[in-house]
Amino acid sequence: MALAGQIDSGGPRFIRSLRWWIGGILFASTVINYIDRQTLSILAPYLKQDYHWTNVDYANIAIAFRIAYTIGQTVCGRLMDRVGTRRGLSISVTWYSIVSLMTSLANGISSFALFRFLLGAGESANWPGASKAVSEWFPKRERGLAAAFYDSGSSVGGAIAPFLILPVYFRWGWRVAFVIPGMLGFLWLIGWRWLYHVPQEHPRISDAERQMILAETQEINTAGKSRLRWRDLLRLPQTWGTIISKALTDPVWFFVTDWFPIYLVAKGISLKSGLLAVWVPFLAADLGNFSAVVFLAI
Amino acid sequence: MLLLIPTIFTVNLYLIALLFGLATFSYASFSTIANVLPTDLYRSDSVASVSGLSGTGAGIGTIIAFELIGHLSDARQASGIHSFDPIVIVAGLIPFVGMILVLLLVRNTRATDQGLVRRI
Repeated sequence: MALAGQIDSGGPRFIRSLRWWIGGILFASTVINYIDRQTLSILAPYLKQDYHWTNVDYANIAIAFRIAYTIGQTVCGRLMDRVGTRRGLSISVTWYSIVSLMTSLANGISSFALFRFLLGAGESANWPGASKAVSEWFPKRERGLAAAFYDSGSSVGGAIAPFLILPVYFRWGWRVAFVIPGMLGFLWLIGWRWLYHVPQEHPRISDAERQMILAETQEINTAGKSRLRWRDLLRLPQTWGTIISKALTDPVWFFVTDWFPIYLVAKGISLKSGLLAVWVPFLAADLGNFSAVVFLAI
Repeated sequence: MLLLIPTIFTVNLYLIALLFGLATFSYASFSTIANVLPTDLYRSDSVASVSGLSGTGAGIGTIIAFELIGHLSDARQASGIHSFDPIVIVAGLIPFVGMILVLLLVRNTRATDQGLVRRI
């Protein structure tokens, strides 16, 4: 039996527990996704001053992102099921990295709103894509941990962002601060193209891991005959439960991610001294992601 | 996430960070379970579709929330440090309602017996 790390009859080397490396790159994608989008929230109190925005103005820019992100999740989810995870996430990350770079050219509400809209469209593919990758690569017992792993990237990205973005802003201004996260996306893309293939075609998966994953996937795919249509999905109470599980909780999380710096300033706290506060909710969320794995394991 | 509500009584940075931290901890643990729901309930070729639908639901909720936050916080600008108070109170209550609805909706049903949805 071939062991992980050995040469497979002249083929490429196996990567031991390859699915966790896949989990790792999904995590990295979520981190970069969040750094990209947090750049504006962190700079919002300063941009508000520079451009004389009210909170309604800022809300409209944030909503431009949300509209695209909202429509995008359903569209990209379906698209991801059609084009596959590898190609789908490649397109998504390329798209939003270019948009992040271009945001440095913005010069007012309309252009910020336009770039945020485009960013939201690109970033929306991350969660459907990552969920799909997890369903392709992980057996049921590990899916909770895998989902916690990639989802925790949002907290880690949010926690890293102020430390990455604010020093750049204080030194070189906001335009350069938008360039940095855009560059990270392109680095990620190189890793992704190399690492991600479905288990059936992956050149670096061991036979044992492939068989274990495929046995699990087959069990799922023989459960029904053909892909459920939209209306079939929407008739199921489970679908609505799944929708509500996000619809009534995510807005509060996005209040923290998008409004927290502005909220703190309204409370009379300066961002320079309040860096800790911007960071803590994200770190706590990270711990929360992994605490759920304990519940799921019970 | 109800713990967001007491933040209206303080301007202490550490206390605010602690209460928001406890709230986001709870949110994230619930969010992980919510992210696993489509993978556990549906077949692989519908997972991204359902995950996308739930993301769209989240987006619609967020757009409505942001519209209200912008208007309400501007209208209450004169209240200074208390301008976000009503927003924070509602933000603390809504997820609680969500949790109850999820418990009511995500159960094994006839569709589960027909193999359309996986048993949980």
